[in-house]
Amino acid sequence: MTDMPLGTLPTEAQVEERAVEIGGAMPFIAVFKREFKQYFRSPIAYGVAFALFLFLGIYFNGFVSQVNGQMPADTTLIPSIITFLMFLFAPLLTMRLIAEETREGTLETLMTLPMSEWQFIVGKFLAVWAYYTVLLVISLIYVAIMSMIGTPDYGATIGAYFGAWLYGGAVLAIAMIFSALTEDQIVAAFLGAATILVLYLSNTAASALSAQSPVLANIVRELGLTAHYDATMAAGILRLEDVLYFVFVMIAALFITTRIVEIRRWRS
Amino acid sequence: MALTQPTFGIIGYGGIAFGVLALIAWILLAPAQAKGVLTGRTVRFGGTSLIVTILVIVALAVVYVLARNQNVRVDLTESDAYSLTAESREAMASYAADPTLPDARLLAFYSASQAGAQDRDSALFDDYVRNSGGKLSYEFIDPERNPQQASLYGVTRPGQIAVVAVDPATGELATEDAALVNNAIQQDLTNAIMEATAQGQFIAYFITSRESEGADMTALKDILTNRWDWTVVDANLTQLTSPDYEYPLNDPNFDGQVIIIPGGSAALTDEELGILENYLANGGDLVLYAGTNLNPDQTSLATSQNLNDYLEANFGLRIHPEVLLDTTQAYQTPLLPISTNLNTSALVTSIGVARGQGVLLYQAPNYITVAETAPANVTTTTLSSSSDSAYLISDLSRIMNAQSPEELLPQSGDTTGRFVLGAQAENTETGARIVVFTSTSIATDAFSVLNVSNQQVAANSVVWATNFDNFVSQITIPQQQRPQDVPLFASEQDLRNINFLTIIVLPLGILGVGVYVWWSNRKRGQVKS
Amino acid sequence: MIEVNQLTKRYGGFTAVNGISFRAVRGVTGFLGPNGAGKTTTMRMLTGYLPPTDGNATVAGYDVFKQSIKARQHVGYLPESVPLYRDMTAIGYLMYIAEIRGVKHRRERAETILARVGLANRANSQIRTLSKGMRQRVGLASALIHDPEVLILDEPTIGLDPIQVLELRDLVRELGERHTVLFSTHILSEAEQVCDDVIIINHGSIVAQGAPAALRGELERGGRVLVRADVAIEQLLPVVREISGIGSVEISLNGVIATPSTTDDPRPQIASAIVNRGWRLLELRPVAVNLEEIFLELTRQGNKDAEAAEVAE
Repeated sequence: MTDMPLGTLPTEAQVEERAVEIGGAMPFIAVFKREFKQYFRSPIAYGVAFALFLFLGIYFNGFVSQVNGQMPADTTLIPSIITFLMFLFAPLLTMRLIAEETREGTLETLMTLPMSEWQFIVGKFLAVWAYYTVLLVISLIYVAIMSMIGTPDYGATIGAYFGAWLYGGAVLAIAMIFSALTEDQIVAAFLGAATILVLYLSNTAASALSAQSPVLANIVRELGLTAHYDATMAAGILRLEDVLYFVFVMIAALFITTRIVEIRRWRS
Repeated sequence: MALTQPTFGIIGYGGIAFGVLALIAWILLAPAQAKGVLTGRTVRFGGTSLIVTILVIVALAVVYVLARNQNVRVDLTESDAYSLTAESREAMASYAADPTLPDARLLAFYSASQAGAQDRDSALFDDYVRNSGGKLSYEFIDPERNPQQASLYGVTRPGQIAVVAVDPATGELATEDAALVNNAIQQDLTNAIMEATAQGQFIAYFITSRESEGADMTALKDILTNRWDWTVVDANLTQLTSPDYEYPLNDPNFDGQVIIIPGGSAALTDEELGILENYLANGGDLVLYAGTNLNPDQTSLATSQNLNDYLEANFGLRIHPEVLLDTTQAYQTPLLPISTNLNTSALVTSIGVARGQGVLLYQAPNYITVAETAPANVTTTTLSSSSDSAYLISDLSRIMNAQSPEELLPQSGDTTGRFVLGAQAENTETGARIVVFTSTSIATDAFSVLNVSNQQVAANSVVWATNFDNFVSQITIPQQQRPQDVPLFASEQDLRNINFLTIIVLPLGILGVGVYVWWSNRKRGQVKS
Repeated sequence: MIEVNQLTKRYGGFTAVNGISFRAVRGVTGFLGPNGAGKTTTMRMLTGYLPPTDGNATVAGYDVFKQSIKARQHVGYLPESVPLYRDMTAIGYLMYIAEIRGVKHRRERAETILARVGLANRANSQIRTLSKGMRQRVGLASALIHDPEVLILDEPTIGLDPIQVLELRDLVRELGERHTVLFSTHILSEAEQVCDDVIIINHGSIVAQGAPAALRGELERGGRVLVRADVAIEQLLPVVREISGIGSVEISLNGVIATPSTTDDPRPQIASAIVNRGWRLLELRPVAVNLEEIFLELTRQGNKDAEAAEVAE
């Protein structure tokens, strides 16, 4: 094929001129802001919050009336319950994040903007994590109530909430993988819930395995979520490895999500 | 962590180190190639992408494992649930500072299903190790996989912890020097460490063979033998001086000895008193439980003239035969007076007894007079006294023949007031120590089940008398009541408010906001179309 | 400016784009081809959405793969399906894209560009309430928000009503004055109207390229000729067929259409043959060709080649 010049070449000045000023782009912040606002306009986010707080309310009331006058205030209870329920709520919060963009085709527009997948994914993730943080902050109301009718251990409270925050981040990042993997939101939610449940129950699997192979059991246990939260952070012990575990799960999950988005795009 | 170290071992670490080094070497030697592999066109496609992802995950896992082995922990709880309290720290400091005390090992018998508890409690164990100057170590053992070891230390259920001293000569675990704790509760653990590492051979003689048997004190003997590893023998006084006897008095093999006279319905013979005198003059230790003999002969230690003359002359204490009763501060009957006036600065009545809450229950006690001026080199201390409403009955037949409870009530002519029921004395020159209580009820099994301090005080008496406290700096560290331990309390009204707020207002409020947002969005869409 | 050099995209065994090279500068370049010719794939590679299997391309001087982010800063892209966030307002969407692109004074810019595409009065409408043509213009506005040097429009007129199509064509032509526009379509008349240059692609390969007029001239030069003389067609037909250099003849309504077998212009020979017989030549002109015909011709050719290749395999 011959290299055939067409038309006339533009002059330097013509190339330089631009009607708009451009600079300091922070694409992930833009993505974060849009997604975060989206949560306050999305019916499913309110549905999740309603279901969560209805459940927590009923549970909390049961707890208070049961131990009234018998047991000390326990503020680590609510964050622990929240972490358990996240296997259900995390996929509901993340299922549309990427699946919708893929299905609607908006991913094509976004991926031709000067924004890397990584920025896009991180922006999305930070938005859902921030929404989860809002839920956690609202749940501090239970700490306030506990402090009126008893004396909670605030140190342990901080540990439990910090842990629940990290735990939520890790679980949401995992659930996001499935939103990138399939365009079908329901499938994404189911796969996400199943994966998180498996990671949640790996503790139980480990104790069943321990008779055969203690080494394997220990690895299975440490791979799971529970071993890094229930007995340690939720009890007020902050361990470096637990913090790293959750942070690393987030990084790994986001990395995998990025790769999936990239591969799916390039194979489209 | 103790769990994985033996399995991971040198090969595992070596492998990781080698891998990391190789990676670094490659990046340094061929930076362009490394950069190309990580960012090049092929990376982004299927297979290579998978390899890169795996590499990233492996790198994260390596960092995780390395970080985990640093054992970095912060105890966030205000109650220091997983780090040592000031009391435990002090106890560990004195343990660490005493070179005569052996090393010890905590064998935590946790089953596989208690892996979480293992993670949690290892933070506490780690703090013990840190504060013990290297003398403590710990290990998790699965009792289901190691039943022999579990039964060796008497472990009956998972979660128990055996504290075992290490034999300094052989370096092996001294199975006989073990103390078992039911849960990883700091107070219990500290005590167990103290008990297991306490050194010295001690013997307690329970004098039984005078005409009638003394009171039953199995519970006290149990503490001595099982918890403290003492030698306990039942013997009569004459036996003790016999050269053929297995455990003769003043046996140099023992670091401490104590004679315990558990009451009895006989006076001391002069021969027996002679043995005691000789024993005490050489710095011996004696714990004496008097008590009333309500049989017709009425003979008891309290009526033992020779004994009381000796005690008064040498230790400034005298037991009087009158029976002390109390109508206002008693348990069910005036015959069971209660003493709440415990000396909170004396070892015998303070350690392990909550300050100001100690209660001693006496059964038909006598009373003690403490000489105003003690004999030379002797210090006397009152340990326990009755309430001001106590009264004395000198005619025991009045009690023995009483047909109705009313007859036990105080009558005009009875002496009323506060009387001493327990006292201790020490001869600082000879080192002799004696503890006297006016009722065997302090140490008998019959009262050990009631919620009173008798048992603790009985044990403490032995500790003080033998200077055993020098070996165990704190037999029992007191548990502090913290505000966090106080149960929460919500009134009916509070409960209703909480119910309303958390079940109605909060969830429905969220739902309401959601519906509002949805509605206003919908309307906006409709108007514009 | 767009420079494409041996750009190739393969999916497994299937070659969607096969080593194409071209260069587009200021003005509107039409990208023509039937559906499945590789237009969209090429455009996606130029926008950095797809990585090329082989070859390279630069946009505004940046390699679309190695300097993808830089290249994307100078490209505005409107995908064929015009994906938009339906629950956002037009202005909200434009400001979102502007923020990702790091455009400053976003609101002013978004308002300006909305006015430019004629949607100023619908700025605060939710996109789902807009008509197809309006959405198309919102998409175009979002591609223009950063005033890119290169604008890539994938079949922007598809699905629009005739008036909207005309409006959009005017807009694209206008944009061609300031930008390098690569405009794909499978409608030839459109390309002819709008484009300064045309690249025809079929089965992943370029089959022709040039200005529409030049392409037509080129084809006409060796093209079919209509011959009319004052004799009956039955007489005329064998004469024309006999002339050397004429491949085939066919009967037209009132004359004969001759198709030459060489690229030489057959008209002088035809003229002399008729005049030599003493007939009078009434008409001798090339049959008017438009891009449609060129396109059909070229793509038919390509298809045959492809079929032949498939049979050969």
